[in-house]
Amino acid sequence: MSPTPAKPGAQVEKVPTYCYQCVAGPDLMTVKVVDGIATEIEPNFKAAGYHPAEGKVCVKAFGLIQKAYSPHRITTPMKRTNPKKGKGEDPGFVPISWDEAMSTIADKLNAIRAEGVLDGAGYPKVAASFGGAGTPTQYMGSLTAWLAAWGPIDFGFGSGQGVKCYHSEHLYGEFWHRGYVITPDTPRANYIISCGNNSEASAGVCGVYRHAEARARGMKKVQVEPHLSVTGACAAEWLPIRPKTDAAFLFSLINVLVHEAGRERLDLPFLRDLTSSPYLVGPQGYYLRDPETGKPLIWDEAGGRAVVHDAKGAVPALEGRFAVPRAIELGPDEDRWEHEDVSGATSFTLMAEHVRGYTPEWAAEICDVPAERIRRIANEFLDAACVGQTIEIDGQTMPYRPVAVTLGKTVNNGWGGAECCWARTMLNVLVGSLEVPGGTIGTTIRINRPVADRLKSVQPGPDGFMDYPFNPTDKASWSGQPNIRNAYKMLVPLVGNSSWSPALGPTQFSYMFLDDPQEHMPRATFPEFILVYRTNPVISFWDTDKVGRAFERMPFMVCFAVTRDETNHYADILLPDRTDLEGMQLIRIGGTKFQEQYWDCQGFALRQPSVKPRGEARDFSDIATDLAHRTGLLEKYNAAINRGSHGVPLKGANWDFSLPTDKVHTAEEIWDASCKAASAELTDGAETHGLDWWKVNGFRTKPFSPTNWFLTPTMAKMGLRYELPYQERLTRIGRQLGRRLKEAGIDWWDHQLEEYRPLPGWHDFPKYWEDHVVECGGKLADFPFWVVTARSMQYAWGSNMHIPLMREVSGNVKGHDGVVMNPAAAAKLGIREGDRIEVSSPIGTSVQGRAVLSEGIRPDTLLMMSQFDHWATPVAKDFDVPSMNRLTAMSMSLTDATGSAADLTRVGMRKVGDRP
Amino acid sequence: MTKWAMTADLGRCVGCQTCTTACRHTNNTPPGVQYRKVLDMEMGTFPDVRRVFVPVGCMHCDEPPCRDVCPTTATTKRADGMVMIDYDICIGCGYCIIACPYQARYKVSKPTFAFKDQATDNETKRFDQRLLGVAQKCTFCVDRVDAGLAKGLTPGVDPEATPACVNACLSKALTFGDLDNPDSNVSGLLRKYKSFRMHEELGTGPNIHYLWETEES
Amino acid sequence: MSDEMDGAPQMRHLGLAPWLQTAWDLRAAGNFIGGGSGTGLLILVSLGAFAGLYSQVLLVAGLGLVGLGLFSVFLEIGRPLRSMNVLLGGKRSWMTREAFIAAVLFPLGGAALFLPDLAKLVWIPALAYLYCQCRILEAAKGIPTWRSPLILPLILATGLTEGAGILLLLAPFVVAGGAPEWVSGTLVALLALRLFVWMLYRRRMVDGGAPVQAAAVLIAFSGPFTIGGNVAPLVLLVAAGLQPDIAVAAMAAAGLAAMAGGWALKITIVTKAAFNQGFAIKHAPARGSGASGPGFKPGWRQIDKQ
Repeated sequence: MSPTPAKPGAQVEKVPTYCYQCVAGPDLMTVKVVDGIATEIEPNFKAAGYHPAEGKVCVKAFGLIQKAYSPHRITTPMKRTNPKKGKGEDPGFVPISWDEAMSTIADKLNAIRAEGVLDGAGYPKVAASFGGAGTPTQYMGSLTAWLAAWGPIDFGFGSGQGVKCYHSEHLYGEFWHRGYVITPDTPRANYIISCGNNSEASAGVCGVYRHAEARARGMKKVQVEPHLSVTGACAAEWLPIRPKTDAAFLFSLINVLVHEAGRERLDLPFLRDLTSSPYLVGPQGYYLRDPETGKPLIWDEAGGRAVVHDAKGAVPALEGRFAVPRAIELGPDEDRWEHEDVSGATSFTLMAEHVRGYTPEWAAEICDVPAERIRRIANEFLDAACVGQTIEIDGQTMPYRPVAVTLGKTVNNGWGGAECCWARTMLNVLVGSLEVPGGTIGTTIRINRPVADRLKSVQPGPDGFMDYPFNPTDKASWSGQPNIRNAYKMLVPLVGNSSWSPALGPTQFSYMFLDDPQEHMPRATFPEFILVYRTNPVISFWDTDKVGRAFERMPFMVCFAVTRDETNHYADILLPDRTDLEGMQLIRIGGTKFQEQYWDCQGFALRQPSVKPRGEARDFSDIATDLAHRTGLLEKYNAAINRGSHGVPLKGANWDFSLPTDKVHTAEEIWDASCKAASAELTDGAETHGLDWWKVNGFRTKPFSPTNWFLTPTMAKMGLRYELPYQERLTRIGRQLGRRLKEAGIDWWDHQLEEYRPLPGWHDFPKYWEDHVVECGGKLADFPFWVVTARSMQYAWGSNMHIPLMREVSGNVKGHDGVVMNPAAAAKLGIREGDRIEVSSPIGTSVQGRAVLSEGIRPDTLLMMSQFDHWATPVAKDFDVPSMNRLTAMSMSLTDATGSAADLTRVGMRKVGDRP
Repeated sequence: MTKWAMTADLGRCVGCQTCTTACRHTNNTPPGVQYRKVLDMEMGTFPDVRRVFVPVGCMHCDEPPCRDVCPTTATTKRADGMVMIDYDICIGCGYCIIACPYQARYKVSKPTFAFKDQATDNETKRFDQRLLGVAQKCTFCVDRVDAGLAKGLTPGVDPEATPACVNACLSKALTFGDLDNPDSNVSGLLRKYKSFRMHEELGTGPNIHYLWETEES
Repeated sequence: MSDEMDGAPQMRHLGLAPWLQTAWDLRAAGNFIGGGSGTGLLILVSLGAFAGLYSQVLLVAGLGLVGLGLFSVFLEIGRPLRSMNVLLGGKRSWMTREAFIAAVLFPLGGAALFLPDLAKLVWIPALAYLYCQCRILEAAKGIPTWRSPLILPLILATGLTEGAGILLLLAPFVVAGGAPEWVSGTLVALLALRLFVWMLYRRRMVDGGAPVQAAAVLIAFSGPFTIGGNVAPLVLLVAAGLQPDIAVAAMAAAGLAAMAGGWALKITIVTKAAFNQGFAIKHAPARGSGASGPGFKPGWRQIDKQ
């Protein structure tokens, strides 16, 4: 017998909805509701034919019932009664009415609006911090429309962006091949080299499903990382590399492909026709260009002469040095060199010469990995690449290159991240596996537009490449005055200026510059009003003590709260959040989404209440509408909804469900109109099902061909080339940026400017962190370990540490209870399993926890899983598990040119007590 | 005849514990009582280390030692292989817990809740007095299987008739089906893969089959 | 279980190496102690009846010990109100059979208090009861130190040894003329038997029959048990033979030591060396086209001689 969940006669419903707690979502699920009480989460079995993982639902979603019913919920609006803010201060939150809460908020906002939305330094007075890599948008209903209606808002107060994300990959990936997040084409890939990419923990349901299917097919994955993660566990081979040396490993793979393998084994047509490999480079390091048209030159083997890159019928030479009678080079700004009888080397030749020294033997020393294994892996990769083969998908014949290289956090951000991204992309370029079936492909875009269609974002730009929305660095248009505090537009050309860019920029600067003003830049000010939702930067950022001290001084802070936490500890107003199972929203699903959501359909899914809202929690859209009303922005807000800033435009080619802009609409009305518009959009206006239909059915899609997953056919059709291997454009933009900054008197970004190089090469990246020890006044010998982290599938992005079920089941996975270290290293320090240890950082902070011994980690490395160290969040504050976030520095010297840093640091360690 | 069994593909399992949570939901077990869970086994010495995730739980043995020791006949084995506990007969002597070499059985003597003393609405709604002080364990989701069969569904194929852990498994590592039916999913997998059973040498005849390599390898 | 999880985070990552079972504690050990010593005593008293031994006190002591043991285990069950259900499983369960035999033993033993001739029959249910106890442990497949076939002679031998010890201990007070002469000889023989079986059992467990931690418990117990529980009573018995003036005290002390040794043995086996089987895999899986690997049996010696 088993326990019968529903008594006879009980009313049982299965409510279709979605979980989007993490970036790997959405997962479509059903909530079993018995007599009005949610009892079970289940996969939405009806989605099996649509969802890439048969409609399965992630372990995190199962925590949502406890989240909804938690006795620790904030269920009414609250206000702070203790004006003093501090970690040790009791905020003295007391319940207030919605009316009081909303009037207090509106009064603040209206006062700001009356005096001007920008402060004296030109920074927005209103700021907002949202976490989870965009997931809050999937829960904030129509608040996005209010944000759009308000005007300038500083979205740059990050919650980990730049250090907890794939930052260099985001920027360079999107630049080179519209890959904001990059994955294998897992259903077809046969050989994957993964440098620390933790897909089995962080790629969600689809990642787990797809990789398991691939393993069952016989796919081989080589996992390269200092500790054996769950992904490493599922790989065929583990290569325990020294932290932050992945670039050397990847360079040496390129070396084997270029200097040891026969040329014919590379994808020569791809290199010749789809990359800038044939472009001739002049003595100044810029492309040799046709003096008349300014177009880059290639050497036409058929005609035996230099011609423009898009000359019809030319047969480009891939390698060699060629004499060109007349050519120009265009440098930064107006710099221009005119040449006669100049020798130009192809980009490929320069690349090959550049990697000549990066032999496996050279890399073995740096990476602490045997040279023969590197060589073997390079050759296995080459063998598996199937160069020359094709595959047919939906009637379209495409190249078939079932090999991929993926990068993980800490590999693809911070110093060395750019080099890893380049090397990874080059490995794919060499065998033609970039953006083709089986190969390495981008999931989605966040900097280019239109955001919902990668392929449409491919537009011709200069020199035969895709266009890219750089933040300009030319004299006329460079943004010398930051628009928000983190100065992303000013400092990071690659980050662009989309709605995501402010939160991608060097988000640590938003906090750093408050106390450390940089010369020749307007001093950063505290925003007068900051709104926080679904994020906890006081836990999730780096140098979290510093972040806490910044929030301590925020003049007015409003937090949507499920429970108390470390960030809303500093809030002035708490608003009760309708949790995942209580609110309503329609979102787009399907197409391609990170991490590994590759669908063959696309459409919409509804989130609807399956649990009655607790206490006085109000629907997010009703709050947004109320706010719009009280701040006098109702018309703009409604107009933004009509435009679709909440997810779906209400007006289309032959349908119009626009809402009257002068009226207050309920959440139900907003989403009913949105459902109708979505139905119409999916059926070209034929059907107009409203909210009631969607409540029953949950989701609806239309076909989306998998041929859309791959960019290369579009590139070929448009006659465009990938901007690889040579980085002429970036170098020019970087040099210009250098000049602009110099003109402005700014020298604190000089080191970052060095990242702008035509061919990225090896630098002693680990030394950057070693030097930082000295910079902090420490001795390297006192900090002999690296500390790294790894995502936990049970927690990643979820803000769910207050959910006991997650704590319970994560306990089945090693590493969730303390600091993981190698037993041999531990023995040298007299440390045994369970002993209490203290880990200290050069920035003067330290954390304590239990030692967890594991053979699956390098002796020079410590692992602190996930992000614990809570002191206010209920349940979690009793874990007694440390986090590395208090140890990692917010430092200009550790910030790379994209504005990111890597999630690791040097640390010291000692035993402070025996196992109890 | 029918003989229900499960296969667990160790090459697929990633140890995500989704099965564990799904089981906790479906069977409404108290905190810490995991009829299904996935072990995280680390073996070897740096740098030659492997980490294997191993789903465990009641093996619904052919010769269940728990049944043999039960002094009350609360534990029985059905004709279709499922090992069941009648909570109304069990006296909670704990003998079966000790007899099970798979550590699959639990006994909880007093009500326990996720948030300590406070039962949440769903915990109050689903609280089942019968389970206090008696042995409990994985049931192969017998209610789902039986109800599904009554509707003409195929357990292991139709989600409604399939154990929750199998439905939830993200990597399709877990499969449930009829071992006596050569055309069933589990029979097919056992032909395709090499398999072993845990502690088989004890003569229990366990019915979770661990797949570890294809037959071609 | 949940209660255990809270206080001991390390225990949350349970489930690899065998851990100490927690289902049966000292209360269950009490049943094996009372049942073993009680039936051991009853068997000897019953067989002694053929040689003219009859003591109501000894019968009551034996039955009392068995009864205390049963009461002790009654305290451990989760649903005491349903305890009579224990009689339902006679087809398979040695625990039910034990209960059935108790239902014979107590009336018979009780009747023997008034009808001395019946005392000659008491050994039959008493031995059967002791045998059931051996089989109860042996049937616990989940506990390697219990399921060993050697547990049968060991529990049998120690039960009888304890019984002989108690007889020797009590006889001066309750039997006219003290313990019959054959008792000390019997105890010598039983001690030798118990020690012999123990050595075999211990060796089997240490050689891979039990998890490493369980074997370690047995190794640590072996010295004190051998010396204190077996050699010491033997020495005392020899001393009693050599020095008649201390014979009564020495024999009582020998009986006490033999009994205490048996009790310690059961406490050790039931509550301290009762590590469960743990988990094991016979092969590490191939991941994708990677190679499969050897199996793994955490908490056990690498060579499993089972």
